[in-house]
Amino acid sequence: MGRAVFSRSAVAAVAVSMVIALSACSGGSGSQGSGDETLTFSTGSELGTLDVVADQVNGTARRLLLGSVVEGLTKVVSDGDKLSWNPLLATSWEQVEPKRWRFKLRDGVTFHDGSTFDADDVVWTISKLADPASAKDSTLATIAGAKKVDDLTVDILTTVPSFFVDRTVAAIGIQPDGWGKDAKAAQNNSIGTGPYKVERVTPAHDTAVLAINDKYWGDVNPYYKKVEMRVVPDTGARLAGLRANETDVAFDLSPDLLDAAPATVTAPSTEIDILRISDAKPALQDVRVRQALNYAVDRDSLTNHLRFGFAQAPHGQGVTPQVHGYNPDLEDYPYDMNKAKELIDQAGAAGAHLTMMCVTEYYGTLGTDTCQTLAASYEKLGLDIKVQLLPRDQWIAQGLLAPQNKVPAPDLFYVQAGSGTLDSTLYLDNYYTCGKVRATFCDEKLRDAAKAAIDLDNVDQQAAAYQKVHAMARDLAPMVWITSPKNAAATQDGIHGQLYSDAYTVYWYEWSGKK
Amino acid sequence: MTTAVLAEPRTRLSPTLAHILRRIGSAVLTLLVVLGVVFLVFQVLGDPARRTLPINASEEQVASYRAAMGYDDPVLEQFWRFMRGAVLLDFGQSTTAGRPAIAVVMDALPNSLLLATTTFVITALVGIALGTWAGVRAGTTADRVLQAVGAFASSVPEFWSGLVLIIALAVTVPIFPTGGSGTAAALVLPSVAMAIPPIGRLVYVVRESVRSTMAEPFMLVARSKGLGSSYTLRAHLLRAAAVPIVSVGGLELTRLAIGGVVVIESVFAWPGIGRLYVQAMQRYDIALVSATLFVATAVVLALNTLLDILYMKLDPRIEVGTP
Repeated sequence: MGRAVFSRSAVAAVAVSMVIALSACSGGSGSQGSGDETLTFSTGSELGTLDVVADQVNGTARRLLLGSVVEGLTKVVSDGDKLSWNPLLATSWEQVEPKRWRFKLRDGVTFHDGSTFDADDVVWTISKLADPASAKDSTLATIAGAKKVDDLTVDILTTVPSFFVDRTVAAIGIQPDGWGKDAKAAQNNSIGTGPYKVERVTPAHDTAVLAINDKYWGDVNPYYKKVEMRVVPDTGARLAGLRANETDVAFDLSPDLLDAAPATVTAPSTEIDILRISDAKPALQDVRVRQALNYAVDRDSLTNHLRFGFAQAPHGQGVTPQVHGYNPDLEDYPYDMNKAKELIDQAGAAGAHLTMMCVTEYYGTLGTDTCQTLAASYEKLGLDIKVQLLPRDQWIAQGLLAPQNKVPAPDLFYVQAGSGTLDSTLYLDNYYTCGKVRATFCDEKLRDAAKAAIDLDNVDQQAAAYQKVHAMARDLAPMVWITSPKNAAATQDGIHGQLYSDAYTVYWYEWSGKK
Repeated sequence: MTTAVLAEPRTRLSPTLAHILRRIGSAVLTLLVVLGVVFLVFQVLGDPARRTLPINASEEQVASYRAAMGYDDPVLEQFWRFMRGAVLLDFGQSTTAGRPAIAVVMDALPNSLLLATTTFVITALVGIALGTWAGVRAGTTADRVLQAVGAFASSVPEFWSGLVLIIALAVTVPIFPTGGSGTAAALVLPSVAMAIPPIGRLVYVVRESVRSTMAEPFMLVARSKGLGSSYTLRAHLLRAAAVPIVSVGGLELTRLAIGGVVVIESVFAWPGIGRLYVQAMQRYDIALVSATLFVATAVVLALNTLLDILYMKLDPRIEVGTP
């Protein structure tokens, strides 16, 4: 009865031989080149189609991959916290009319397929982008189209007067005239003018490899001969891959996992998370209550315990230091619960019922945790806070666009305000001009000052005027300024590189080092 | 006296064939119902344009996008278009992959089937071996230990076991890759992680089946005839216990093929339909979600039909269509 069904030694032999065989097959990193000349990075979002215009919005993985493959007319460069825009495929530019910018194009540039770069390629790319049906990023919504002046001159047209089209075009990767007509080719490849070209993409689009473009027009000397991208949906698995030395850089890690990474590369964000205040309720019409809501924000705790250090102070305004119109003289309301309580009591607002609307999935758990933390603070002031967690489209319709949709706006609305073109105009226009789309707070003096500033046609005068508007707003406290999240990527020790704006603008030829 | 004899019908389906045809018809109907439910769910989930476009998108941008994608059409028209396309296996263009959604799913399906099949083989080999071993030792300490281990294994969440395996065998002791595909080594950890819970369940079922079969009178006769244990096991015991084993094993394969792969494919970055489904839901890619659910349902229904046929072969007492 006790005799084994299978011989024990046979089972052991089979098991050992399987382990040995499979260990020999173990692929490790799967990189293509020799170890020191390939940079491998992982990302959580799927690559999808490589057509940079077909699906602008969901293309974070694509942007990470193709930032060094396709190039814009200009390129953002960083000097510490200061950003500026340098010539790239354009050599110079000027604003010839309020809604027309003229760009002189660089001569002698060729695409990866050997075709020559000229104005037709710019017109083609921008026309595709300007199509109303293209799901493009909203910062590009002001681009109306492009017109060829001559082979090396093109006019970019905007829907509204803009001082910063040179920044906007940095985000538009120029592709050859007609590229994308063959949809299948555009899904699986990308042709640009950059120092890297697409070498291969797996059928499942879960791995892609870039190789150096030997015929690149510019004078760059990339450290890495190849760059490999791997899509790893699970955040824990991305960190594990980094720690197992299978990857060199891992994106999309939550702050607690970034803290556990060997090293990180960070860049200041262009976003501020805020609570937009509605002045519909009498309690919130009192500036003391609004200021109290700011005094009750423990930014140190939010920065250190929720964001694990990957955040900065917002300095009492809804734009970041790189943004046109940022006021360097403003400071946050200090964390002072006693002061906050005193203001609430002075205003007679203790016991006021306020709603706080947050989104369930758009900002991940950080968004909901931030809301819950703030609600707990405000409860200690004697306020009765009801937190509403809504899915994204309802959060937009019933919260962000409540004024436009003529529904009662939530008293406190959590959102991250940002400016991809580093310009205060959109932020001021959205929140300070008593507009009918997103504004839920209206002060006549603030409104008049903001509108007058937006209408200025001199960029330096406008910057000074914007600074004054931010200072006025800081005192009026039409919103709670919470933190400015930092962008970060986890890396191996010894890897150096640069992230820009929202952390998905990366130029791999600027990266170097390997352990 | 002449007796009239009724002529035999020219065509007469066997009960088995008739049963199979009925099952296929039922499967097709189930597929259509699933598609209808998918369509309804997306109707109530909210505005797809607002879910897709950035929060700063203007109303004009949203309206243009909505019109371009046909979201402005009457619901019945959208439904008819959707169902007609589905019958022709045309679910539309995947907004994230930029190509026909059904093609994206069919590219990913073999990867999921490879993973599910490998997991099933591991589950069957280990589960049957351990369950049989426990069954012939029922009541001993070793049997009790194995039962406890099996109970623990059957309740372990796959994402947890997957991450533990990654930490242990890919990071701490780097024997296997942390994820990806394309090599036999990449298949090991996800298959083992997926196999742990069904092994726990199968051990229990096999143990019970073996134990109860061993108590049958024919087993006593076999032993009294002096038949060896191995022969007895193969020729009599396992054959008799096969039906419940196949029943549970088939259920596990069905679960593995579809539901079980979702979590594991995400943890191990395995490019199958489970991961595809998660990505499609996150991106609100309606075409891809519909195509994925359709294919997944079709696979499940096909597996169930095949299992039915296998039952009938294994146990002649299972008859179809007879009163």
